[in-house]
Parts: sequence; structure tokens; C-alpha cells
Amino acid sequence: MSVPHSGGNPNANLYAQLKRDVLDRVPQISAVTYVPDEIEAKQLRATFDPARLDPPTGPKSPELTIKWYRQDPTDWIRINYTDPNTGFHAGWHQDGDHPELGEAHFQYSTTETEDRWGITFEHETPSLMLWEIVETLLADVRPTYQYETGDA
Amino acid sequence: MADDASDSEGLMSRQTTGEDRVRMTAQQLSEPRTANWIASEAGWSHEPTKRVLDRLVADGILHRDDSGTHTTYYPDSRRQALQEAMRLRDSGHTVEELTDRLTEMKAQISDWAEEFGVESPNQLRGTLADATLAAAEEDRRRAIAREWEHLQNRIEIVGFAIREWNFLTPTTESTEAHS
Repeated sequence: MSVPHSGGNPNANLYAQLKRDVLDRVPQISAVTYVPDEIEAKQLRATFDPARLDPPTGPKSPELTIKWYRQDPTDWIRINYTDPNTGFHAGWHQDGDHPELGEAHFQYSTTETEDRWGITFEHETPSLMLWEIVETLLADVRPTYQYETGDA
Repeated sequence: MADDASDSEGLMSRQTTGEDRVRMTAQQLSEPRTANWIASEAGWSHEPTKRVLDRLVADGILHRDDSGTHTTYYPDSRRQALQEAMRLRDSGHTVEELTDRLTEMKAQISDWAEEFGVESPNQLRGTLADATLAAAEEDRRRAIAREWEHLQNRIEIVGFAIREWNFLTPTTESTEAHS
């Protein structure tokens, strides 16, 4: 049984919630904007302050874009991190593109290598799932894969 | 994330309280849930979770259903739609800007309807049964169907904000406020 709601969208201000619940609370994130603007609000874009990232990367600001459409039975999600300093890219996708990997997968690429594998989230609340992703990005993904030279 | 390498270092637990996480969870439920389920999802104990939930019910943010075996809670979607309309009203855009963007979003939908000869995102998905479509075209149509649904939702909210522009005027008379 789903939550009763009026109109087409049970979670009309999801992006405002993700911004307030998660992105505005991450010390390494310096700005959050709506793409293309807050009227159409197709995506959120969070900009990282490169001076606050550990390990350091370079003078340009990495970005995290969040595209999240709520739907039954599972939300359609694409969250992508790009670092213009290194060409590093990481993505958390629940988009049906790689059914062989399960419902959701992680993928990353550097100038040297790329890989992807299936993942499962501990939570099913969008804001808490986004916290999982941000924590994993900062504590694990950047330190482990950003400078990988393809011999892992 | 249930992934061996991701022993994340607890940024969320430093930046949020249990009450924060209960609020986050409750506002984004996709089906009615018990206080136990919400407490587990939010990583907080049952009693304080229930207190927060009952406060959210009293504030009109959640509904409580006592008719089943277990009491369940679910969010009021009207309030979220209203909050989004208020956010747009307070965003610094003029009513003319919102109207222009509304027109553009509607034109985009009209273009898709004309291109594919359909009237809705699901009708567009229905065209995927056409065996002659290339995989790339199938992907494109799936993506457009998703965007179409998103635009429909935005059109509803933006249209509401425009219609109720004067009613939604902030009491401070300031149109510069940002959420």
C-alpha cells in the first residue's frame, strides 16, 4: 500500500528536503543549486570546496549532481561525482541500465581505469540514502579510487 | 552501504540528531510505516521516535492510522506540495518569470506529444512495444517519459504558485527571502 496523496507527486519538495537534510549539512560542500533552475528543478548540484577535501585534489571545485525521481516500486536515481582536477568520475545509479548488477550499482572511472559493481543501500529513505552516498564518497571512494592506477 | 569497503566514518551521525533523522524518514515514507520501522530506519530508539512522530501528527505534518493491528504513520503530501509552492513564491523570481517558465515547460510537453503522437508518458512507454525501435531510441523514449512526468509535477506546483501568488505573499512583505 502506498501513501495516499493528491496530484501526481507524493514528495513534491524532495529536492528541498535533500538539500536541507543532507547537502547543506556537509562541511565539504560550499554551494547547492537547482538545475536548470529551481522552477523546473530537474536536478540538484552540490559544489565541493576543494580546500576542504582530504585527500586534496586541486584548485577546481568537484561537483555532485543528484537526479532523483520517486516512483513505484523503486525510485529512479542517478548521483554523479566529477572532479575536474583529475578527471575522476564516480556514480551511484539505480536506473535499470545494468540489471545484471542488481537494482543499484556503483561505477567509477579515472583516466587509467574504470569499474562497476552492484550495491545495496542500508536505508530506503532518500535523505538517508544520500547520506550513505556522501559518507562513502568522502571516506572511501575518493581516498581509494581517485588515484588508482589500474592495478587494483 | 552494504559494501565491504564502505566503513564510513559517521558524518551523518555527527551532522544529524536522532530527531532529525526521524523527521527525514517520516517525510519521505512511500508507504505507511510503524514507529518501530521508522525508529530502525532512523537509527534511534523507539520511545523518543514515537514522541517525535506524535508531535509531527499534532503539527499536521504526518497522519496517524490507528485502524489496523499496528499504528502507522504517513506524510501529508498536500503540505509538501504547499511548501514547494511557498518556496517558489519566496525564491526571488517574479510571477512573470514563473509564468514564462510554465509556458516553456508546457511547450516542451506539447513537442513530445506531437513528435510521438501520444498524450501521456505511459502512452509513450507503450510505444516501446514497437519491435523495430533501436535500443538507443528505446532509451531516449524511456528518459523522455521520466522527464515528462517530472515536468507534469512541476507544472502543477508552479501553476498553483502563480494562481495563488497574492495569497502566498510572505507576511514580512519581503520577496527577497530565500529558503
